[in-house]
Formats: sequence, C-alpha cells, structure tokens
Amino acid sequence: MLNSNRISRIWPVLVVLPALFLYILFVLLPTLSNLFLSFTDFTGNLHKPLHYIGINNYSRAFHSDFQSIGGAIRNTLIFSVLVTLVQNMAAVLLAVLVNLKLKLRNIYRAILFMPNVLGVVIIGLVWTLIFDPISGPIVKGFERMGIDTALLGDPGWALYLVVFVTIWANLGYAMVIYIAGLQSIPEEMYEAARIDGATTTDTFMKITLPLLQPAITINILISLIGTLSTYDFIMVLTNGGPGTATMTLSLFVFKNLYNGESQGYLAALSMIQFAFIFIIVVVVQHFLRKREAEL
Amino acid sequence: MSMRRKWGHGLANLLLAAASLCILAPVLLIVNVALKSNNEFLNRPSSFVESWEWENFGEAWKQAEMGLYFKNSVLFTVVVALGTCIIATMAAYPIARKHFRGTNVLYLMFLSALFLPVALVPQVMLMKYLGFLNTYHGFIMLKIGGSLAIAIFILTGFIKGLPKELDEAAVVDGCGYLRYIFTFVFPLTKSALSTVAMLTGIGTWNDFINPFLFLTDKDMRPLTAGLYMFFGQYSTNWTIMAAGIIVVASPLMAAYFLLQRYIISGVTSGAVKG
Repeated sequence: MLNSNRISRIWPVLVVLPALFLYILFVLLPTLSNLFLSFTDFTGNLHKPLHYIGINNYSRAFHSDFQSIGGAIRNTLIFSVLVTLVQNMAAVLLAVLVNLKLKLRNIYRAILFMPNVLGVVIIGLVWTLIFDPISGPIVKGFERMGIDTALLGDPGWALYLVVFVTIWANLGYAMVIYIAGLQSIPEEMYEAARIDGATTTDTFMKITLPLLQPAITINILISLIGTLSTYDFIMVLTNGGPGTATMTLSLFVFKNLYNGESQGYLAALSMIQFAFIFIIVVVVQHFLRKREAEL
Repeated sequence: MSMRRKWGHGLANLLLAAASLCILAPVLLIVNVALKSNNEFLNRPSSFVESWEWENFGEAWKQAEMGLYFKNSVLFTVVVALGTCIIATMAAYPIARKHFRGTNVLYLMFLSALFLPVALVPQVMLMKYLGFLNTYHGFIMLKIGGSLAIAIFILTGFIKGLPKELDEAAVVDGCGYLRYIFTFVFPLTKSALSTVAMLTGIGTWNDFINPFLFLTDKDMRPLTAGLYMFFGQYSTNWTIMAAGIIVVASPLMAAYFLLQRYIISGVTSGAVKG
C-alpha cells in the first residue's frame, strides 16, 4: 500500500515531463528570450558579446524606420479589417442558407469548407497561376472587358486580391462555426415568431443575429488574430510586392530574418507586432462581449 | 406559405451553388490546365481540355522529385500526429484529474501558447545551436512542441468529462500509472484523439514556414516546400506546374471527401469549445 502510494505521487509528475520539456524548449524559452533580445544589439552570432541598449530597437522602429513600418501597419489594418468584415457577412449568409434543411446541404458544406484542408502552398500556387498576368484566365477575361491590370503585379490591385484569396480560403471555416451557432438556437423561437406573424427579415434581425452573437464573437476574434499574424499566404502569393504594396507587419519581420538585419531589432519588431495584435484583440473582445451581455 | 417556401429554397440553392462554384472553379481550372499538352496550352490556354496529357502528372512527380518529398511528408505527418497524441495525453490525464498540486498553473501555462506570439528569431537560433537544422528528430520535436497547446486543451476538456470511477477501480487493481494511461485512458479518449491527430496531421502536412526555415536541405523537404521551390525553378512550364499542384493536393482532397464529416468537426472543434 505504501509502495503504491509513493508511485502514484511520482508518476503523475513524470508523465507530464515530456510535454513540459518540449513546451519549455520550443515555446516558452523562445518567447521569453525574444522579449530579452529585443532590448539588446544581438547580431545573431552567439559568440559576440550582447549589449543592453534599452529601448533603442523600439525607438528605431518608430522613428527612423517608421516610413516602412507605418506602411506595413497600414496594409495589415486594411487587410485585416476587410477580410474580417466581408468574410463574416458572407459566412453568416451562407450558414443561414445551408441551415435551411436543403437536400444538398452536406454537399454545399463540404465544398465550401474544402479550401481549409488544402493549405497555404497549394492555395497560393493555384491562385498564382489563375492571377498570372500573362496567360492566366482572369487577365484574359479582363482584357475582353477592357480592364488593364497586372493583377497581383499591380500595386493598386494586389492587396485586394490577397484579401479575396484569404476570404476564399477561410470562408468555409467561419461558416461551419456559424452553422453550429445556428443549430443551438431553439426551433420554438422561430415557430413562436411565425405565429406572431413576423417577417423573414424580422426573424433574422431579432432572433437569428442576436442569438448568433457568441459565434460572431468567436469568428471575428479568430479572423482578426489570423489576419493580423499570418504572412505565409502573402509570402506565397506576392512576397510582399509589388514594391511594398502587400507588405504586412508580420511578413516584414519574417522577410528581414535573413537580411543580415540585427536580430535584436527583429525581436523588437515581433514584440511590437504582438502588442499590436494584443491591443486590438482585447479592445474588440471587450466591445463584442459587452454586446453579448446587452442582448 | 408553401409556395413562398419553395421559392425561398430555390433561391437558397441558387446562391449556394454559385458560392460552391466559386470555391471549385479555381481547382477545376488547374485540373484543366494540368491535362493539356504544352502545345494545346500555348494555343488555347482557357478552352476545355482536348489532348488529355496524363503523362503530365508523372512528369511533375519526376521533375519535382516528389517521391522523396512525399516520403518526408508522410513521415513528418505520422510521427508528429502520433507523438502529439501520446505526449499530450500523458500530460492531459494528470492535469484533468488534478493528480498533483499545481496542475491548474500547468494547464494555464500550456494554454498560454495559444496566444503567445511565435518567436521566430530565438527559434531559429535555438534550432541552429542545438544542431537541429535539417534533422528529422529536431523538426519533429519542434512541431510536437508547437502542437501541444491545442492538443492538451482538447484532451483535458475531454478527460474531465470521463467518469472517475474507472480510475479508482484501476488503483484498487494496482494497475501502474503509465500502464493505466496506455491501456485505459487511450481507448476511452479515442474520439478526442482522432480530432487531435487530424488537426496536427493536417497542420503538419500543410506546414510551409517551418520547413522553409528549418529544413533547408533539399533531401529533407516535405511536399509543400518542395512544390514551392519547384515553382521558383520551372515557372514557365504551366502544364507541369499545374500537374504538380494536383499531385500534392489529391491525397488531401481524397482524405477530405472520404472523412469530411469528421474533418470539419475536428478542425473547428478547437474554435467552438474556445
């Protein structure tokens, strides 16, 4: 009995250790050292001595480099807001339609969700071919309509096309979350509304939307965090170009990783990016939860 | 009412069919290009395929050296998914049952990784100085480390819902702790484990940034990175590039349309519970 008692105290701790080890090594340690490195002049060479340089890296980002970083922040915001708004409006509409108990609902759902399993590279390359400015199908169609653009190579178009592809890829995910939200709304509420003679618009505005608010909150947060931090999509589609037309903050950090840029400075940039996301998410979440409570 | 309803459903079908077509059209266009001979593509790039060049797929497979990349992708995906399931369950069980003091703190710590920023600079340094660049074990450990948060989150929630009586019976039996996890907890958490395996599996198969950073050696690359590099090198041969995309996408598409019900609920489960 004593023996088994002792075993049962040690073993629960032992079995957690592999997870704890990997977590500390690959997640916690890099995150903490990122914060630390952002206050140093770390070059990337561990044999050179480190110097504490205070907030120099941060002030560099906001003063001498603000031209490029300000532009990247602007692009990030346009990208993020557009994707979040359009994607969620379209996803709510599609979810309501799929939820109508149509015969083909499972097929629609499966097709609309499909891009979510395809992954960044496949989706990025598919659209690179389709948006090809020389032999792509879209450019041919545009030529016939008299629209002259190099699509992803056109600074005025590129960002909006990246927005479009991102929505194309993530729409189904948002829709599935909305469908789950819709299914949790009790059928009786709609029946009661019907008996009271409510119109379709009334039911949608007064029952569906308010009761869908938790799903709306989750979806908006997921899409905000995603769009504010992704760079792999943009990297495959435009690599930030043409010029800096699609350069976002996260891609800026990633692209400078191998440019011989001071690693301390890059660490500071990723801390700024994190703070940027954190503030936006906290503010938006506060606003959305308040709405949920009011409803 | 019924007449109105019929119209409503007709309209809904129309809209959904249009949306579905928007999703499918780009993929179908690529299939169409992949089946054309180079000559046909140059003369009539957008018309419906006539030459049916099935060899394009074999050519893409050969030129992009996909045999090797495919092997790497399968290895990474299987080992990371399995490893995450095992290591995360071993951590989630004592946490869910609060088997020692501090499990709550531990749980929150693991969970915080869902919100922490990815620290690329130190991660690159770490992999470099551990000698983990271009190694199978290094990459696999990094990927498991990155998948643990969501896995422990899903599994802990699930195990909390399992009846505790089973645990006590096992203690009376004198069943060893580790053996208990492997012989009792694993079978009971099957449904949550399949979700975790699917999430990490799809994530690893599609991952592109980590191989790009940490598997720079050509022989170590998975399919995603291999296809991306191939595009950079052969950006003029459209039919072969299109065929390459289809070759990489087809195992995913096949798995998806076979298991779509499970995959859809699995991939979105983290979000809905959060």
